[in-house]
Amino acid sequence: MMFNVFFFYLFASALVGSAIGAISVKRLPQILLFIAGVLLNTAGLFFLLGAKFLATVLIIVYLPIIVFLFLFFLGKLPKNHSPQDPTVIQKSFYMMGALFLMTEMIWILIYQLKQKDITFIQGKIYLENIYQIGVVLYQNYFLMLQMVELILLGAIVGVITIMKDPQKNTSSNLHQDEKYNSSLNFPITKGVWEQE
Amino acid sequence: MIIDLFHYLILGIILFVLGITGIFLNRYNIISILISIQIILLGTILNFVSFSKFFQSIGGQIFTLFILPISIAEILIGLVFILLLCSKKRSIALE
Repeated sequence: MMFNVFFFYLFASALVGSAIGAISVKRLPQILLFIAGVLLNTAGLFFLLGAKFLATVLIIVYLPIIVFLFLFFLGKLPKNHSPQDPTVIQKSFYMMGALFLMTEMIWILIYQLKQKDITFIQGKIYLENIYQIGVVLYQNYFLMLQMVELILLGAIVGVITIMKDPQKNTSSNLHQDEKYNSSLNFPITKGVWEQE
Repeated sequence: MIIDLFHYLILGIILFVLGITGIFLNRYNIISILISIQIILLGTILNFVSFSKFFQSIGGQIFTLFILPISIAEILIGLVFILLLCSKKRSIALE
């Protein structure tokens, strides 16, 4: 019982601290580090609540999607928007944040190992929760699941439509001064070298 | 000492208020606004999962599975708008 109380207060305090940090810093890597802390602590709280499938999805799927989306899209911005090289203090700050996240993941793993009903050996990990979710999801909420997939498909199609033809909209002005040509703009048959 | 539903609801309220505060604090930084919307959605997700635990119903976790793709789609569209804004104004600062 005390184990649950200790882990709840650990995860809750780290969650609130990470959220405060995420809304108070300005630079992008610090924001991403803090949002990773927020998601990890939420996953720890989900483990405490018994929602093991959701916690695993949050760690394995959701966190890398957010971090890589931000890094990928904002890497396409021009040079003057990218931050300068970090100083020693900022590097030590990043290292401390990464160490904190690593210790949090180790805490979550220790909590999982202390649970009695989960055996890593027998290959029955998370079976119970996933089984419940799958039965209810595909029996009662199948139409809503399809609609959510349609919304995601619409979002993906919209993003590709906006980003596809850079000559029509103004995103070709992005690298006009830098004499930068993305290899995606070339016709594939002409080849990269013939453009010079 | 027992951790019950009340604690989780208070935590969800704290996350929600922090997200709204982040939106108002960083009015001119569009990336912080997107992150603050993520924090708000995490607060609501925490409420859903805690109700699902303490009322012994799996429906809360199902609805959480519906919220997560919607928030990912929102991030996608927001980031594309950031790119378009940057290409027009050569700056991602909101006026």
